[in-house]
Amino acid sequence: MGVCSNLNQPWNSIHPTVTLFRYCKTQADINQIHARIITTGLIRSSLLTTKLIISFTSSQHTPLIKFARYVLNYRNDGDPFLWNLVIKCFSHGEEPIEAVVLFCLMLEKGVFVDKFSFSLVLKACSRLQLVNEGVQIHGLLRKFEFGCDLVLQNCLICMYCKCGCVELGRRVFDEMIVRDSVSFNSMIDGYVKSGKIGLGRDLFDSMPVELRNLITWNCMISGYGDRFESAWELFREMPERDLISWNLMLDCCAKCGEMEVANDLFNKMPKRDVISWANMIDGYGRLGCVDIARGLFDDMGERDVVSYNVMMAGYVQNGHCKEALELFHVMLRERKFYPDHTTFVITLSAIAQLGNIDEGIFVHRYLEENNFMVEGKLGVSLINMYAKCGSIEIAMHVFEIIKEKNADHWNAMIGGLAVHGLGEIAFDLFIEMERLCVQPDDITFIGVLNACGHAGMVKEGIICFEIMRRIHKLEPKLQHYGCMVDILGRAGHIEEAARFIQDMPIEPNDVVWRTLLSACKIYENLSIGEDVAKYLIRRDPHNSGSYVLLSNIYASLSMWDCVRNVRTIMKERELEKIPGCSWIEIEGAPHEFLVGDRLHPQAKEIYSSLDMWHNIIRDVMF
Amino acid sequence: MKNDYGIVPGYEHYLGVVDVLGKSGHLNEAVEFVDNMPVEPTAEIWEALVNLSRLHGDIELEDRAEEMLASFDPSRERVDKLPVPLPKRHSVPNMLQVNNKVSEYRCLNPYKGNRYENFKGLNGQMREAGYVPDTRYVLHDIDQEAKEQALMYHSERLAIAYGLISTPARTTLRIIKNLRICGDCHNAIKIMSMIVGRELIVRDNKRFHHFRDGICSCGDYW
Repeated sequence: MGVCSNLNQPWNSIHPTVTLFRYCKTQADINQIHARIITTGLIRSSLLTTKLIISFTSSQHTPLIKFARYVLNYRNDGDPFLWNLVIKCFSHGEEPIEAVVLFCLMLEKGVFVDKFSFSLVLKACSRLQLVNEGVQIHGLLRKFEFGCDLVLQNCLICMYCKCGCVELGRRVFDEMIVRDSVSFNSMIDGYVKSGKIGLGRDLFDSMPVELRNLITWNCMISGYGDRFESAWELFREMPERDLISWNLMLDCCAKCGEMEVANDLFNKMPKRDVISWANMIDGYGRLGCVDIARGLFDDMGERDVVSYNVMMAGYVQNGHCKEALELFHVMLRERKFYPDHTTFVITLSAIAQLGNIDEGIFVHRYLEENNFMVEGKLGVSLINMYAKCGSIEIAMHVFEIIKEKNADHWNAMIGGLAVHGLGEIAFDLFIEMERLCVQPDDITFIGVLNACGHAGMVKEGIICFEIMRRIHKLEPKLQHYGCMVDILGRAGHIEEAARFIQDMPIEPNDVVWRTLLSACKIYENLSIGEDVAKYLIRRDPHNSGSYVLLSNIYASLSMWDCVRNVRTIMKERELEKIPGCSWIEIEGAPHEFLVGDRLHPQAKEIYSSLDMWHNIIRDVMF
Repeated sequence: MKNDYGIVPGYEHYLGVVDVLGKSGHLNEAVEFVDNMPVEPTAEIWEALVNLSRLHGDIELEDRAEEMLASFDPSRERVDKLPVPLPKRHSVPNMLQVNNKVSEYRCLNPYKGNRYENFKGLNGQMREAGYVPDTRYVLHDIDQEAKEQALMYHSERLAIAYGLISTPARTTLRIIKNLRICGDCHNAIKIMSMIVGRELIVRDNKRFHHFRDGICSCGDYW
């Protein structure tokens, strides 16, 4: 864009500049405008800056909005309209915190603050969940005698609910002399979002019928997302429905597994969108019907990244990780739209389950090349992927470069170190977590305890268990008790492990008992193992694992008659032992082997190789 | 095959069918297939049935298959029941056999030479490694020789063997196993990692094992 003087206008005329405002889009454009208004002194022109602010605040380009904010500082007249325009851009835009800052500047500069200013800054506080600032603004607007303004009261309700303080929102609601649909909708939404569906329903029922609108009904249905009957009842009672209503009902059906109803609704919908299709794909994926889900996906006229995500997630949830990965690559090849954070989280989860390190490295490189931040869930997924693909060193590197780590990052790293047997490092990481005052959660302690178990760190495991209970006041869950049994059992403290189970304050499940049984098998403890196995068999006669473990205990003690008895019982009950199976990936192709497998095309070479190795070892040894 | 494709099935085809049926758990169908074969089942087929019966814990079938294996192929009986000590080898015959092995494997697997050269340099370390098949992990009522045989072809070893013959030297191998790795395989893989100079990473159902230079990351505690 070129800016030049017009010979028909005075050198400091605003007209040439104003006419070019609508062409500004980039920072470079702004720089030229900025240079011109500085050199011409027009920066002090109220008329020009007014036009500039009005023009730029109607733009969608961030540099223009920021420049409007900059120009605002040059004005001395304190026009609240212009301030509100700029605040609105930020409160609704990508940097709502700037709206709060500008509101403070208004007060500081003595600019008149009206109710529009309050509504805008409250919206910003809602988006940022700034409850402390919101409370201050609440007090301020009362001083300004706006406390009874309906719009502002609605904004307050919304702000408090978004900040998680539904009780405060309810107080505002109860104090209202006059309420409208927005009042009720905001309050119901607050209850729904905070999980207090009963209170939301009570308010819905007490709401004057004439005030109910589509938003009210949709909000209530969304609250019953996992209660099909309640949602269905409301859906049928709705006087009118929109696309959102249908989609919400589909979503509920998907979550509750009511796909027959969903299919019927889907066919009756007057209009569908990508969300409708995504809900259907998601629902069938949850039921394990990935073929049907894929059929729907293929039938979609237009897809978006969300539909890809739900299809990929369905694949991963049902163990079809390879198909999920293939779909990811299709997305990349087609280039109609680009993967988002959710896509990568799902993809990395698939790769982690496949153990395909090469694919993981490819995805990581893609993230780096496209400037994806590995903070947040992506970082967690990367750490988890590398750990599960056997590259704990790279996982550690990813962990270290994440600047703002949350508990999930620490959990992923500790868990990864645990399964790699690096218990001491995991324990040190836990201590570091404590030192940095990162609040651990249940998962943290599961990871640390697992790490201690795999590394034989009995003392440290007990210490962690007590830290969890006494310092962090976390009530141990079943998994934690199971970890403790594992720690004791692996170290050979069978009697102590058995006693620990007996002293558990909650009912131990089969997993806990089987953990003890596994330890009995390792240490050939027949007296405890036999009792535990028989107990497990009585509880679940169809779980072959208990029989196999018991049989193995007998076999390790050469009690062959007992072995035969157990195997006979298994055969009578048609139970099969899970055969050993191993996978290796060579040049992107997985190869599967069962014990004694001879089906591989290169079986002869494989067996010859093994025989050679065994012979070499034998020759060397003897 | 014969009627539709004009291919006369050989023993390898019959063996393949037995393997497929057996691995999918259809042992009865596999036995029925063997019983109805138009040709006499070979020792390999009965051996496959022995392995499959052990795999699925069918003791009766295992006994029958072993009996048939012994009766149909007397040479197996000598191997299984009358173990003969290996003759002491002299340097010259050993060199000839080593040369034969190298020649044979170099034709089939281009990477073998590097591995064998690594092996020769690790002779001393192998003696210090102290590996012997630990038959405690074979939980079957069979003799010692059979136990050693049973240990040799666990799935993770097959996967590693395939990886070794399919990838260049020093390539890290990553294997995933659905069950807990047994103690003997753990020991054997440690020694293999030392011989081949590669990192062998095994992920079993409990954890990761990083085998490198004869040492595992788990510290032999899993």
